Amino acid sequence: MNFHLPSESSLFIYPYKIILKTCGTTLNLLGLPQILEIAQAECSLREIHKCFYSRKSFMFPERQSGPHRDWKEEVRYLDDLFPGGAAYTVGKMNGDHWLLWLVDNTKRVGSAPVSPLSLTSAPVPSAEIPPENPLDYTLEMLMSNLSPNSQKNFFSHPVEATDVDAATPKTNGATPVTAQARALELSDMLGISSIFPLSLTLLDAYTFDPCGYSANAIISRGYPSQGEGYWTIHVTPEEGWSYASFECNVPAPTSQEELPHLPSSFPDLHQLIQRVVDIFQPGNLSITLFVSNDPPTTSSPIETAQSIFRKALQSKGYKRTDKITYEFSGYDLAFASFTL
Amino acid sequence: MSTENVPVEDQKSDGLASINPPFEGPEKLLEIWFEPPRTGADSPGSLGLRSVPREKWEEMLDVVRCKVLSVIRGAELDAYLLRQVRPMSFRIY
Repeated sequence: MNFHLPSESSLFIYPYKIILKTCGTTLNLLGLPQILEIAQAECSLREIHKCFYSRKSFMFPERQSGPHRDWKEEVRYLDDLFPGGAAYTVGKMNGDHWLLWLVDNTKRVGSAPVSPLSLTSAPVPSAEIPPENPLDYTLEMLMSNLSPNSQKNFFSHPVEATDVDAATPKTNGATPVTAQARALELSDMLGISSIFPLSLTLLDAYTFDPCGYSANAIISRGYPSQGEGYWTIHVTPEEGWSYASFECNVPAPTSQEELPHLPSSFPDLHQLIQRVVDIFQPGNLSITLFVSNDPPTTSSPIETAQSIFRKALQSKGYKRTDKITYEFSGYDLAFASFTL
Repeated sequence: MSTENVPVEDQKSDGLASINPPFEGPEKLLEIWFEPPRTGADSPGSLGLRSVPREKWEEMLDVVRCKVLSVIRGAELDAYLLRQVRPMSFRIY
């Protein structure tokens, strides 16, 4: 019996920032108190600057457990840890939507003591240099109903004549070499390796038996003001609940003219969206772009991004079914849904 | 440790009718920013959380029900690929 035990997840660790992305029935939020504890015990980091939690509406909410059984429970769990957070539902309540909880304490004046950690109050003014916050940028493409052509790419060929039974131990770590080699080959074949220029990409990928795919990439600086970033892809290709996600914190320029010194294969936002959609060919997708806007500028990149989303996808035959723009304190959000 | 293997009980509990039970692809995404130390200890090359031993993160990931598959390290961040593990004999409600 091929018992499917996939689950593709990622963890990114920066010196003062952690991103934990987990799918399936993982208990993501139960990791949060432990992350806080580790940060405090190992690094003496006691203050939380910002915290974000987000997800798309579940396909099978009844399979979730712990606080993830319901959005209200997730919000309550987070509110108990960090008072002062705000929760949003973006999109159709009775259709595809996106849920966001956030607390940004760099904006708060006054103090909000919490246990066990305290939240940072107003930022400490620096006498020497006006603080120029680096751009915080997160693009997500949440894609479902992948085309049959795309789905089949993410099923492994039968490994051997004997049935692959997940209950049979294949000895610890015996398969990863082939699973990784196979995944890297697949990444090259599908153009995943070259979403960003190969010369800037450090790629780690994995295929699962009998299906599923995960990849993390570290993208080195394309230009001096840009930090090192990542993208991550997770694919569940099975018909009925096929899904792929692309997340990226490398700012994509809104046009090629904007950063002429970048390698020519460095995608602008329009190209990036098209490259990803061409790989997965989803029947439906939602895009979120979450960008810091601090200090606020009059020309928010969000409206430009919305128009790029539409143009990039319209030429691929997609219709926009939702377009929502949010302005939070310090952040702007563009959300849009498309269908073939 | 053999927690990556599916316990037989778990297969049964999912029922034979669901050889491949539906899988929730959509992810939960958590991002936490810590305030860097203010006391001058934050030298530009400070590793901060990147200096935490991997075992500590693995303990945290046990609670989340994930295991590390592999890790790549860049100049400014570490990226871990994870897989989900099923609980062996406990469930958290």
